[in-house]
Amino acid sequence: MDGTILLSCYIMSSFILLLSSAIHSLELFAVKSSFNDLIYFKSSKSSNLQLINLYHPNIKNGFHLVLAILSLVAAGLLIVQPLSLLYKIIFLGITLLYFYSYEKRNIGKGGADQVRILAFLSFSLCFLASGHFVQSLPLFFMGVQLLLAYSTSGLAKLFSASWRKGHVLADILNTNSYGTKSFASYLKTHPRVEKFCSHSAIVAMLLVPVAFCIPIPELFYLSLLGMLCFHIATAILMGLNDFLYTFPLTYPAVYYLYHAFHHFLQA
Amino acid sequence: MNNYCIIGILGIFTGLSIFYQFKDKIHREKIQKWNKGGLLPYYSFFAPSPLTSDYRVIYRITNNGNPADFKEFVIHTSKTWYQGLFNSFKYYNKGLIDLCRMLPKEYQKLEKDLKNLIQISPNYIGILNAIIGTIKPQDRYDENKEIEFAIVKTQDTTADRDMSVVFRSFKHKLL
Repeated sequence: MDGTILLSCYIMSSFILLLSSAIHSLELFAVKSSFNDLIYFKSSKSSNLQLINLYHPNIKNGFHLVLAILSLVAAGLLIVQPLSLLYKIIFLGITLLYFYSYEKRNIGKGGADQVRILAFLSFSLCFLASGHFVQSLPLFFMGVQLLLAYSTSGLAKLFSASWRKGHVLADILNTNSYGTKSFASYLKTHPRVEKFCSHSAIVAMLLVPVAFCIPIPELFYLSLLGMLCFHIATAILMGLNDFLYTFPLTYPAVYYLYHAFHHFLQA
Repeated sequence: MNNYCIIGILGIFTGLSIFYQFKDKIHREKIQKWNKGGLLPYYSFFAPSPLTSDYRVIYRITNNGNPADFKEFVIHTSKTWYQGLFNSFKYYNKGLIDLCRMLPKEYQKLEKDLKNLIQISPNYIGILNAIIGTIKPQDRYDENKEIEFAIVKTQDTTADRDMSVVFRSFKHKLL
């Protein structure tokens, strides 16, 4: 594949990752200190990171602010000087700080946190590679992770009786934790719409790995667009905006993986 | 050489990630031993059993043996128009859900005569610390006062919703 496409995919993916990291850090920066015990609870597991306590109550907020600023600086640098030494140093610094934060937050982490940490670690690890592998390896890796994420999630829903029956969304949205009461009430009074939405989520997730195997690029792009719409909906209705910022970082990766895969099959 | 090493590391990790997705407990527990730092992902996203009820934490303070009414440890806030763009609530909301889900399970696993050991569980201490953090200083540091909390599961958001107590704590001096 063209080296320009590889570089573009790499830059787009890294840029979204850094932007996602900046927003995530600013959100943690904005958490009231009275809720800290629900995010950074103290377990024996965290003892291996007690040597330096960047999460001391007095400096914790500063830590997240620094992480957000560094992420934005790196995102800017990526556009001006992609893969320069300075960019790599800052990126590695962010990875270390982010990993520290990830370990400290030993509760309440979700799929978006996992995708972000894997992206940081794989992009950093591949700085050690040479040639085009610096860019292509993390893209391949993140592309596979995306396919795995949507396949697992789609299959788990497909095998779940409540998801198959199609009356699960109204109950999820009828909670204070993840709900939007007005939409939940609408779904309760329109069971067919609820069933359609539940089944659409399953189809949209499973369509991505299926379309990946079919050599019709338009179908694959459409499947990714479907999932992007799903992430937008969950951000608006459930407040899960982390998925909206994080999962698209893997879209340029899976785009590159798709074309490399079908190019390989044709060769 | 570097390239092959990196391909090997990423390849092995990908293989383990695929294996880790299976809901087979035996295999997952075997891999869990090696899952240092929780890096291996598990992508289930609200499946197979989505969260269709809320966990609420209520607490009360007993002064000289006289219990006050239960109060709710409120974390839920009203929805904002920008929560799809910026939402800090989701972190402590998910944290509280995880603590409230794990604590009753831990309690059930303990043998009958060892139930009081639940008090040293990080999940227990996490909830207790969070509640105590919201109590005004003038209401604390009094050896006559004790605090206890309970986890309540609620269905629906209306006033006449279904409720059930899933865990009740021991009493602790507010010192």
